[in-house]
Amino acid sequence: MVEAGTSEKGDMRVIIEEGPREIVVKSKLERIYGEAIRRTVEEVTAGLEAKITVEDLGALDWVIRARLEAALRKFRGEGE
Amino acid sequence: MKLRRTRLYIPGNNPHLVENAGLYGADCVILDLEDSVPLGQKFDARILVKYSLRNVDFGRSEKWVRINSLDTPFWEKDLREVLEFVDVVNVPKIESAEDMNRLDAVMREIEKEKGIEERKVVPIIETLRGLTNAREIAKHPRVVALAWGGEDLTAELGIPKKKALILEHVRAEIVIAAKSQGKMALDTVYSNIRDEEGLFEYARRARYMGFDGVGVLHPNQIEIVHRAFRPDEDEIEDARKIVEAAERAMREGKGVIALNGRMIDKPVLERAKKILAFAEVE
Amino acid sequence: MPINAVGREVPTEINGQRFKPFAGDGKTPPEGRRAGSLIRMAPEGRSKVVNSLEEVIRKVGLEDGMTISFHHHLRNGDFVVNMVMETIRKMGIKDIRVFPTALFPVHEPLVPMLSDGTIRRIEGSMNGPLGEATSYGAMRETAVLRSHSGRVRAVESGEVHIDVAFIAAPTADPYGNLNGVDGPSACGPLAYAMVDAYHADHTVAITDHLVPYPAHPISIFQHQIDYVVPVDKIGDPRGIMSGTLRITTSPSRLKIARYAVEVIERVALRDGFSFQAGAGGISLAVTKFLGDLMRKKGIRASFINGGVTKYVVEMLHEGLVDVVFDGQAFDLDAVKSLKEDRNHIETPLAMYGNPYSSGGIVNMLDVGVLGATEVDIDFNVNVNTHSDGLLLHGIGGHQEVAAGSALTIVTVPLYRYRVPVIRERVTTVTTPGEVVDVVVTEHGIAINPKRDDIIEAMRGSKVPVYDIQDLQKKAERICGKPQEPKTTDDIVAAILWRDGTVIDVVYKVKK
Repeated sequence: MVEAGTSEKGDMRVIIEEGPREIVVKSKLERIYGEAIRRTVEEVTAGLEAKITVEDLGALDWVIRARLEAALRKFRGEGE
Repeated sequence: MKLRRTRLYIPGNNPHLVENAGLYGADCVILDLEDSVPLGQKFDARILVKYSLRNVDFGRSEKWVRINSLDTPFWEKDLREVLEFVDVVNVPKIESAEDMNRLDAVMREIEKEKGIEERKVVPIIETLRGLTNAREIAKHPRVVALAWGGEDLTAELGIPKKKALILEHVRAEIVIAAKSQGKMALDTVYSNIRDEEGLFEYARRARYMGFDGVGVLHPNQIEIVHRAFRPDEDEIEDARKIVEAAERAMREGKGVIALNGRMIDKPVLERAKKILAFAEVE
Repeated sequence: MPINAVGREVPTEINGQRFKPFAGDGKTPPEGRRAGSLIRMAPEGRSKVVNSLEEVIRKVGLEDGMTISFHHHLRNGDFVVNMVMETIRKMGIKDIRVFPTALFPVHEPLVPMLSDGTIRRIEGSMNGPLGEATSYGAMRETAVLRSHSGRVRAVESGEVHIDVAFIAAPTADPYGNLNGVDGPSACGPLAYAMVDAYHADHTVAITDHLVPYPAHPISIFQHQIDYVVPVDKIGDPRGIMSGTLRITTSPSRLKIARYAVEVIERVALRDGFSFQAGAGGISLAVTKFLGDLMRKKGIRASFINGGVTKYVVEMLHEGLVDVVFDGQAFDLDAVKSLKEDRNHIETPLAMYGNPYSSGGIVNMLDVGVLGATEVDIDFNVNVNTHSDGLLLHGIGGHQEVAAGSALTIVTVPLYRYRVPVIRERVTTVTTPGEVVDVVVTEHGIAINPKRDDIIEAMRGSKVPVYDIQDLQKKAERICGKPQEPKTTDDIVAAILWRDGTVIDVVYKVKK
C-alpha cells in the first residue's frame, strides 16, 4: 500500500493497494465535482490493476493530478 | 529592471497556500522543498510543486524553487522534477565554486535534455566556508544574487543566533561579495510576522546596508517591505535630475554627463536609475 | 408559473396563500392597513408569573394549526425553542406553523417534529440541519424564508398572524418588563422580538433571570407581555455570544478586506458617512481597516448600524463614530456598551429596513458590506443555498442592507475549496443584482455597469477591476465546471424579497 497527499483542506489523499482494479472516491464535493474527480482518476490511473482510494477535501484538478502521480510512482517503486 | 525586493516563502507541500501564492504581488515566489517540507513528504512535494508551476497563475512574481541542499539525496531529484518550469533555483548551503560547478553540471544536463534555456541560481550562504568563498560563488554566471542564512553559521561559532553580533558583519560581507561581482544581495527574513514596525525598520536597514531585497514569510509583510524599499522624495528628486542630465548628454552627443558643473560617474548614474526604478513601482 | 424580474419561475400560491412575483425593488406598492392583535386585559393580581410551560400553553389556548413565534438572540445557545416545541409535542398539539426570526444547528431536535405531525411548516431562516432536512423534503408544507425586515413587514401587514409569541428574555420582572443586557444569558438587544410582542395575540416571556419589579432598563414593556415563565436556563452563554471574535488571519481574506476598504475610501469615505457592520471574518477586517483609515485621515462617521462587536464599540468610545444602532450584539463588549452608553441605541427591527414603513435605518446607510455563498454575472446574490442545492442559511438582513445602502459591496472569495463563488447563474436568488454595486474578490473587483460613478472613482486605483464575466471565467478556469444540482420539480421553500414578492424558490434535492 502507498499513500500520497494530506488530509488538509484543499488537498487530496490518495491510497493505492494491491488487488483488482477498483476506484473509490470520497469527497465532500461529490454533488458538485464527483464526476470530474472520477474522470481525472480514471484518466491518470488508466490500466492500473489496483485498488485506488481518493479522499478529496476540495482539491483543484491539478492538485488531484499531482497526488495521483505521486501515488502511482510510489506504487511502481520509486523512492523519496 | 528586475526587482527582487520581496521573495515569499511558500511551503511546497501545501496546495492551498501554493494556489494563492501569486495573489500578493511579491517580486518572487519561492516554492520551498527544503525546510518547510518534512522528511517523508519530499516526494509528494516536488511533484506538487511541478504541477503548481504548470497550472497556477503566479502573476508578476518570478518563480523560484528552493531545492534541498547538495549534501542530501534529494537535490538532483528536485531539479529533474521542476527545473523546466522555474525561473530561479534557490540552493541552500552553497560553500564553494566546486558546489556551484556540481550544481551547474546537473542543471546543464537537464537543460540539454529538455531543450530549455539556462536557469538562474540564487545560492544561500549559510556557513563560514561559504562566506569565505562568497565572491567566487557570486562570480558563477548562473548566479543572479546571493542570499544568506545565519543559523548554521552561528552554530559553527557556538553562539546563539538571536544575540549574535557577527551577523551585521556577515551581512556586509554578503553585500560586498555579491556587488563586487555585479550581482544582487538579498537579506534574510524577519520572522516576527506580527511586528509591522519592526519589519519596516528591518527592511529599511537592509536597503541602506546595500541589499536589494529581503525574504518574507507572510503575504502581509510584502507591502511593508516594498514601502521600506521605496526611496525618499529627495533621493528621487536627485536621481531624476541625474537621469535627465544623462539623457540630455546622450541627445547632444556628449561623452561626459555634467550636472551643476559636476561630472556624473557611471555608478552614480546607475544608482539614480535604480532609485527611479524602485520609486516607480507602486 | 410566471417568470419574475430576475428570470426565475415562481408560484403565485404558496401554502394556499397568494403571492406576487418579484417585480424589482420598490416596484410593488403596499396595500391595505396594518394588522392588529387581539385586545386583552391583564390577569388579576400583581404577577404574571406562571410556573410551567405546559400551564402557560393551556392558558393562552394554543391549538392545532396555530402559529407561534420565537426570536433568535440566543443564537446557537438557545434552549427556549426546543423547550417550548418539546412541550407542545408532548401535549399532542399538531400542525403548528413555526415562525422564528431564525433557527440554528442547536434546533436540530425539531427535525423529527417535521414528520411526526407537530410542525406543518417553518417560516423563517433555517441555518443548518433543519434547512438540510427541508431540502430533502422533510417538511409537509412549503417553507417560507423572509429577510429580517421582510418578516416585520409580513407581521405588520397581516401576511403572517402570530397566535402566540414565546419570547426568550435574559431578564424579566414578574409583570413582564424585559431586557437582554442582564442575567446569565444576556444577549444584548431584544430588537427582533419587539414586533412579535406588539402584534401577537398572546405573548409569553421565558426567563432565567427574574428580578423584582421593575426590571430596568426596559426593552420590551409590560403592557405587551401576558405571562412570564421562569425556567432554569434559557440558554448556554457559549452559544449565545461569539466569544472573542477574531479578524480573519487568512491572507487572501485580508486582501479582500483591503480591496473593499479602498473602494469605500474612493467612493464613500467622508465626514459624517455611515456604514453597516457585521461579524463575519471579512466584515470584521473591513471594520478594523476602515477604523484605521478614519483615524489616519481624521474622519468621523455619523452612525454604524450593527451587527455590533467590540471593534464597533471601540470606534464609538474613541469618538470615531457618533452613534451605534444596535439590532444584534455579538460579544460581551457590545452588550456592556449597549447597557452603559447612551449613544449606543437599541433599535426595534421595525426601524431596520421594512420597505412598507415610513423609512428604515438602511435608507440612511452610505455603505453596506455583505457576504454571499454565490454571486452571478448579473450581480444576483445567493446567501440561502449551497451550490449543491441544499438550503443551509437564512437571509438575515442581506436584502434590506443591499437595497438601502448607497454603496453595496459584496465580499467573496473567487472560489471556496474548489467551488466557484462567482458563477454564471446563482443556485438561488436572494438579492437581485440591481441593488448590488461592487463585488470584491481576492483577485480583483467587478463593478455593476450601471454604476458609472463607481467605475469613474476607481480609475487609477491599484485594485484590479474586471468585468464580472471575466471573474466568472477565471473561477471556472481554476475550479473546472461545476455540476448542476440534482433537484426534482417539488418546491420545498420560497424565498421572498423584503416586500413580500417571490424572488425565487428552492427545489427538493435528490438524495
